[in-house]
Amino acid sequence: MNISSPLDVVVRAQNVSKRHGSTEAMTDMTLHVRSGEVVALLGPSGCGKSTLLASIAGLVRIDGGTIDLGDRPVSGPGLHVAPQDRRVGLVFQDHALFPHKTVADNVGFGLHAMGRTDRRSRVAHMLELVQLTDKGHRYPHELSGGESQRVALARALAPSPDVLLLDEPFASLDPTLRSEVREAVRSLLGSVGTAAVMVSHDIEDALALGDRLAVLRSGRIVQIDAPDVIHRCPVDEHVARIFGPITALAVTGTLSAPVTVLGPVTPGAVLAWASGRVALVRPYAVDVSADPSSSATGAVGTVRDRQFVGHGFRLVIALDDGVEIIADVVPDLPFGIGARVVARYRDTPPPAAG
Amino acid sequence: MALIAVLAAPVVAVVWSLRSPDREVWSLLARTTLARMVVTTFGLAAGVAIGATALGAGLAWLCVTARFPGSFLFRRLLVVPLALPSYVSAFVWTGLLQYAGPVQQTWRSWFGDDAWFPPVRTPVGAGIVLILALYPYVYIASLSALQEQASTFCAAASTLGLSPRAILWRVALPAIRPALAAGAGLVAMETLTDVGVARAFSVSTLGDGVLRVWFGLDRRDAAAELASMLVGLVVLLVLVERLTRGRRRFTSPSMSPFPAEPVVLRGRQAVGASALCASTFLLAAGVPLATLTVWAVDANRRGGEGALDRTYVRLLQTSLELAAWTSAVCVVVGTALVLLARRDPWRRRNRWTARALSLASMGYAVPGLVVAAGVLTVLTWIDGRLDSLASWNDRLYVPFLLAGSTAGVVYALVVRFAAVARENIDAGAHRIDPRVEQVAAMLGAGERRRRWRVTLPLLRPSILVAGLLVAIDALKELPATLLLRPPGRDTLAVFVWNMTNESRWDEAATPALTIVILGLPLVLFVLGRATAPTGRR
Repeated sequence: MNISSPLDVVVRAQNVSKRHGSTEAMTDMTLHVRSGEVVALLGPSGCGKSTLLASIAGLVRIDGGTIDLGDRPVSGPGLHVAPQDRRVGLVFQDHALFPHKTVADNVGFGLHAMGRTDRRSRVAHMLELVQLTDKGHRYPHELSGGESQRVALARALAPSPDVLLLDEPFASLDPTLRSEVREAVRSLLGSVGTAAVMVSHDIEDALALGDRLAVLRSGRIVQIDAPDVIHRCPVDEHVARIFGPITALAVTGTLSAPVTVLGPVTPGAVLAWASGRVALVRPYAVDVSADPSSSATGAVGTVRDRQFVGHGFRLVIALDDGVEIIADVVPDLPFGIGARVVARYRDTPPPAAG
Repeated sequence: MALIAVLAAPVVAVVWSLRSPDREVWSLLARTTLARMVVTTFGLAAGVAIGATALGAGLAWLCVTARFPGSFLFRRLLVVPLALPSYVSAFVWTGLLQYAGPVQQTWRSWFGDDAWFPPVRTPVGAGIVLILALYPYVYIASLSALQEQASTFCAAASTLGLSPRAILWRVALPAIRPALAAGAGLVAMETLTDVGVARAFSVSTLGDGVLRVWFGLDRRDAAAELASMLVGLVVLLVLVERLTRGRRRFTSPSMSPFPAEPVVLRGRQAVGASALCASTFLLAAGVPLATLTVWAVDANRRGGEGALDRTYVRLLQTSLELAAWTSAVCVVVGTALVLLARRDPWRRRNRWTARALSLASMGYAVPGLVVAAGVLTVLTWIDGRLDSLASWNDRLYVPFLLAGSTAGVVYALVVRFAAVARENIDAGAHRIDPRVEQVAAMLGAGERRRRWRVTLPLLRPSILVAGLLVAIDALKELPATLLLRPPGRDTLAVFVWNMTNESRWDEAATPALTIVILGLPLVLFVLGRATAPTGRR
């Protein structure tokens, strides 16, 4: 999304903390959301991502720090602006549509300050945006999962909130519907240009929508940056692991010339993360070839397990010296279980997997 | 807060009255019947609680775990006695079994005039009638508990190789213990505060004593003090239950996906099971209903009092009016209390609110007699204030402005039944997804708009049910109405009471039957809930 100016911040959560009894739900979290961008909060359940969202919404009272929306302070010491006065939109995981109101009444609920005709045309416009023009008279229980998702979105966006909050927006949808709805939400957010904060525990959801990712762990924001930057330079092993399975290899050799079982770690090798003691290798960063005899570098092993993952096969290779590694190979290299192979670092990144 | 104070005031007033006891009446009672009253009341309550628990739980166990001829029907029919107030079945049975009644006449024609017949008007007789009238409380509680929780445990236990008998004693009974305790507690409470059965069977209980002191000696303060002894017993009962339950938790996290397969009974066992259910139903509901119908037909054929005449219409009208007022006020109060408790999570919570709310629900745990006495104390006090306020002007004379009014009765009934309304509405409120209200807030709706546009519309079904349940309860209520009704404003229940006190059974039959019929929706409601296939409430 276009970022108009770095100072144009719509949500400024500064050093926010919250305790539930003796446990810290949020510790010193700082999050700035710029106009028009989508920030995805990613982390396991209990990491504090939903609490942060609820704090921005005003549904939770924070114990420390401040939250500003635009230039309005809304939460802080001795200050708590009620949710209804924040101009923030919210979409819940299971949509929370008003069961006693029609789709049109649901969408129009937040427009009570408008005149009747204005409201009607705004509702019609919103329904058109989410392609539900003919469903305005339906009741929520008559809608499919994807439809109620879109109603919830239209309802939240109808009053033109300054920022839209999405709490696990795709978690209640089944996988086939999920990618479809994800695309619809992505294009809708793009067309209205509203800044959004999304909470998810699913990396695919986060990548599909998030201009930036905030990785959370036990009440803290561990890393916040563009997805590709986090993928390339994770701050620690845990962050590196959020993008999928990974192999950790022990590092030997000197600090200037590190070596693993797959050979020397060259500057060209695609490592997820490395320290002096361990190197993390993503599956596609391993090059697998058939002929054990011709190996100058690399390690020999046996294919122990094989799984088709769409763009190719994912192999589990038991190296002869006892280490197991995961490697992705293209479908035209169908190594079977029990095949003897050589694994080494790929010198260049592979073409984009898809 | 003011609302809660109004609801709790009568109960507090009664307890307060103990500080300045009426020594004269107390010493009279102490010299004569007090000790015996206390012993009888305790014995009766204990006996009825044990009997009703055994009967109710046994029938529920039978109906849930076994199949026998009629089991589907009996499972539902056994709830029906809930529609019969205990004072109605009491007068039916005493009427049937008295010396001049049809049963003893037939008995004598068979075995001669001197044939021995068991004495009817004894504590044992009263106990049996109370057991038959009150077992449904335990039955319903155990039915849901057995269906919802015990089946999981039982399925697990049977895979571990336990025999059915061992499952009953070691798994099922412990699992439904809280339900049994709650049911037994309710039964004991109803017995402690019963007046109708005690009077019909001439058993001298504390409840009966309160009435006698109130009407016989015309010492209302003393009656209130006596009633507060009942409060003490009730509190004791609640405490014992709490203490014995301890830290254990009994709810299983979810419904079993494998409901236990019922055992199909055959031969003698099947006949025995059917006979037990049939005789319970006949004694508790069938015979009383048939008798009432016969008597009602008699009374109507003969004309005179107790027929479907103008008096009846007036009684019915008064009853319905009282029930409607009580129900309306209870629903408003109950909804207000529920909304008060359902504060927005982002608001700072006053820790006293919850405690105060539980205080407001106290009324249901307090006998109608006590509530009546308390309401009278409060209203008399207010009347006194009003009177002294008005005394500057001789033409204004307002003695008993409130104490003898319909409003007084409604006040007492509301104090008694507001908790029923609150509980039902609260159950409905718990089914509302709080996120729906949060979303409304996010869409800019303030508290007032959220309540009117979202919470209340979603609560409407529960509010209607609550109103219906309270109306039925108010219609059947006897002691408080009896003590507080203004002159000339008799209800169906009071009329039944007056007629049966003069042994005019058939004249009481038509109004009694009316009460039963008007109470049938309660049975249907309970049935719908207790036999619902899913455990969700």
